[in-house]
This record gives sequence, C-alpha cells and structure tokens, in this order.
Amino acid sequence: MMEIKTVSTGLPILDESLMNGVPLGYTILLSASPGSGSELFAKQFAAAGVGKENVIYFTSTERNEDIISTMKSFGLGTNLKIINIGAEYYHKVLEKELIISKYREEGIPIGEIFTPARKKKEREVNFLTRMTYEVSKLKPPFRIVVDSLDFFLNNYERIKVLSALRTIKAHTQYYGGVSLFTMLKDVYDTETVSGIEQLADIILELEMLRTPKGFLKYIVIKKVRNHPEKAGIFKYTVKEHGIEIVK
Amino acid sequence: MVDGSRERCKTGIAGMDSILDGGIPRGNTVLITGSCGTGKTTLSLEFLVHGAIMGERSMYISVTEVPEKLLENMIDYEFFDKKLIDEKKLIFVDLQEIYVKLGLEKLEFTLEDINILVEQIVKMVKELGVERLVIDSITSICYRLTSKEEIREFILHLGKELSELGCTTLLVSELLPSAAGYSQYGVEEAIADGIILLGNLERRGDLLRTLQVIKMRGTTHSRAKYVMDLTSIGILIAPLLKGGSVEVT
Repeated sequence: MMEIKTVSTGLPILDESLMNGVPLGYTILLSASPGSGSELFAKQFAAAGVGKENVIYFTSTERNEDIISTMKSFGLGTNLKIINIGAEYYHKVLEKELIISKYREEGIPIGEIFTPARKKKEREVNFLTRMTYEVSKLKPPFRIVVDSLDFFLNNYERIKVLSALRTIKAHTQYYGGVSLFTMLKDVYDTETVSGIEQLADIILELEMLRTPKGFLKYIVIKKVRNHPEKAGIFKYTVKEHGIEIVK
Repeated sequence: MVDGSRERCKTGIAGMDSILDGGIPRGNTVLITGSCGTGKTTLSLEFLVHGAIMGERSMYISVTEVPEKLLENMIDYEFFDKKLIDEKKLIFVDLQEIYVKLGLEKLEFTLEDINILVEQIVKMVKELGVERLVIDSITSICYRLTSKEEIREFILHLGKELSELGCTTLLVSELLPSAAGYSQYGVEEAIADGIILLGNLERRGDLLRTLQVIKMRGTTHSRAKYVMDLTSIGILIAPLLKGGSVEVT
C-alpha cells in the first residue's frame, strides 16, 4: 500500500489519532465555542509548519505583535507570514466609519469641505479576494491558517464565502499543502455550517463543559474523510507548550 | 413686519429687482422652479455672482453637476470675474462629496440623515458667513426623502435656520413639463417664502424663456409674465407682448 504523506498538526496525540498527521492536500475545519482555545490551536498548527513549509496566517481579530508574542510565550516558532485582515479592514472600512460618525455628530470641519472625500484610484477592497489572491501566490510545500472564518461570514454572503473556500481547498489539494479554518461553533444556520463541513476533509471541535470544579475541555474528531472509525473525543488541557491532549 | 420695510437682497439682474420692488427680502427661501432648459441654473448663478461682486459671500451647492463644469459655463459671461472664486467670495460645494463624508451615499434618507444634512448646510453658511445660497437642485435631495412629511420637515427646518442667519436662499426645483403646481412634490411650494416660475413660450416659431414671480413674502411684486433672455452680458428681462403666444407644456 502506498504510504500517505502527512504533516503534523502540532499536537502529537492528535496526529496519532488521525493518520499519523494530516495527509497533504487536506483542509481542516476547527469549530470551537468561545474561550476554548481555537486561536491557540491555530498558532500551534501554524508553528508545526514553520521551517519546513511556507506558512501563511490570516487573522481577523489579533494584532501581529500579539500573535508573535503569544507564540513565543508558548515556545512556538514564529517564522510565518501574517496577513492581518482585521487591521486592513480597520484602515479601509472601520476608520472611515469612525470619521463619518464624528462628522455626523459634529459636522464636517470647514477645512475639510473642499478636500476630496476619496483619494483617486481608491477602490473598495474585497477581503475574500484579498485572501484567495495571497493563497494563489503560495509555493508548495505550504500551510494556510485562517483565523477566523467568522469575519468573512459576517461581512459577505454565504455563497461568496463558500466559493472562496472552495478555491482555497482546490489550491491546497492540487499543490499538496494543508489548510486550517477556524470558526465559532453553534452560531450559524445549518446551510452555512453544512456547506463548510462538506468542504472540510477533517472536522475538529473544541468544547467546554462547565462543572463545579471548573471547565472540562474536549477536542472532538468529528469527521475524517473516508475514515469514520477515527472519530473520537479527547480531553485536553493548556500547558506551557500550548494545548495538550490527555490520553 | 410692514410691507416694504424689510431689507432687500438685490438680485443684480436687470429688470428683476424692479419686479420685486427692490429685490428679494433678505432671509427669504425662494423656489426657482421650471422644467429643463428654462434657465434656472443660469439665473441662480447670476444671482450669486452679483452678490459676490457686491461683497456678499455667495455659495453654490451643486447636487447634479460638478463645480468645474459649472465654472466652464460661467467664463463666457462678461460680468464674471475669476477673482471672485480665488478670493472665495463665490464658493462652490459639491454635495456628493458631502454625502460621502457624512455617510449619506444611500437612496433613502432617514429623519436623522435629513437633520444631519440640514445642520451641515447651516454650519457652512454660519462659519463661512454666507449671505447668498443656491441649492441646485432641491428636487434631487427630495428624491431621497421618502414622504411628503420628510420633505416638509427638510425645507422648513432648512428655511428657518437660514432665515435666522439672514441668508437669502434660492432652491432650484425641477418641474416636469406636464406637472400641475409649482414643484415636483407639491410640498416645496407651500413652504417656500417665494416662488419664481420659469417657463418656455412659443411665439411665431420662436421659443422664448419666461419668468413670473408667483409669490414673494415680504414685498409687493408684479405677477406678470416676462420674457427672459440669456445673453453674454447676463439675463435680460422684458415685458411679454402677448400676441400670438402659445404656452409650451
């Protein structure tokens, strides 16, 4: 039997439970409840490729320096390319909205009346296109992390998000990279969730259970393409090197 | 106030001030209404240029045409001096730019949007010390308001604030050739302090432009129809000789 080439998820026990890692060409979906550590998982996953693969990390919520310092504090390698969708969104959209709301409250200052409202050549940025464009430039071997899909689902129509995901999945498959998408659990409609789940080769879930003694954290392997026997549930804790699965 | 005692804002247009018994009462909001090609923009621009020459700061808020294009049309006039613009006696404001800055790039305005727009116009008039204002056209703003009540609120609010500042305002109103009344929504005419109606009249094969003051609060005025001629020395107004004329609708 031909051996499948795999790469590590960054969590050794998870690797064992999958196919001794993630087969090249696979797309992973990590759906997580808030506070369960999906951002940390994303960083560990990214770091597992550092030095061996071209790692690209799309973030919509954190600052670059915070990502780097968090990774360092868990002893993770940081040689990766961060595309900060959140910061770009702030500069292209939110910052303008802030100015608009100020002008609506106070009126436009007289000095600003005669200046053009928009710079010439300024175009509206489509962040989905921005993401797929960056992905298209990646040379194998590569690893893509998108943390999180929520930004795109909140700003674009489902059909457009799915189409972008399909593009990234196809690119990952064709060139033998791996990709990870994170998203919030239990907030989207069934059509959205099933659309995304269909695209994923592996689905992982992070769950937290509140008990009188504190939170119990579980990682669930919900789907492995063609390997239903690999579905399972594990407890995990967060230690100095990040998320660790308890055997 | 006793008729005739109010200070006048001279239009500077030959014939027009005598029709209005000295000019438009200062602070009035006047609707300049007519179908396309009747000379509304020309009349309004001339009103502003004469004001600027007399030392009154004049502002033109344009909704449909960019200021550069309007300027090109004015350079032909003998009375126009580019210095008025350089010295900021005559100011052009592109309302589309204001819309972008205030987040008003939408098809329908809410009441909040209307108030924000009115306050912005008032702020500009106040802070720049504008004494003559033209909004060309009020119809294209009203187009974004969803009900007659909103149009009423908009024009009343605007008129009141500008009147308190002593700013004489012309609101250019586009009229469909077939429309009854003096404004597209019927509300504008009821609220304005004055209405100047511009029209077309055919006489023996010629198409004449006409001007008629329908109403003007604060002054006595002629209600006769006059012929308005647009020439390179400005607008000329002459009594209409009625024989053989047919109203063009």
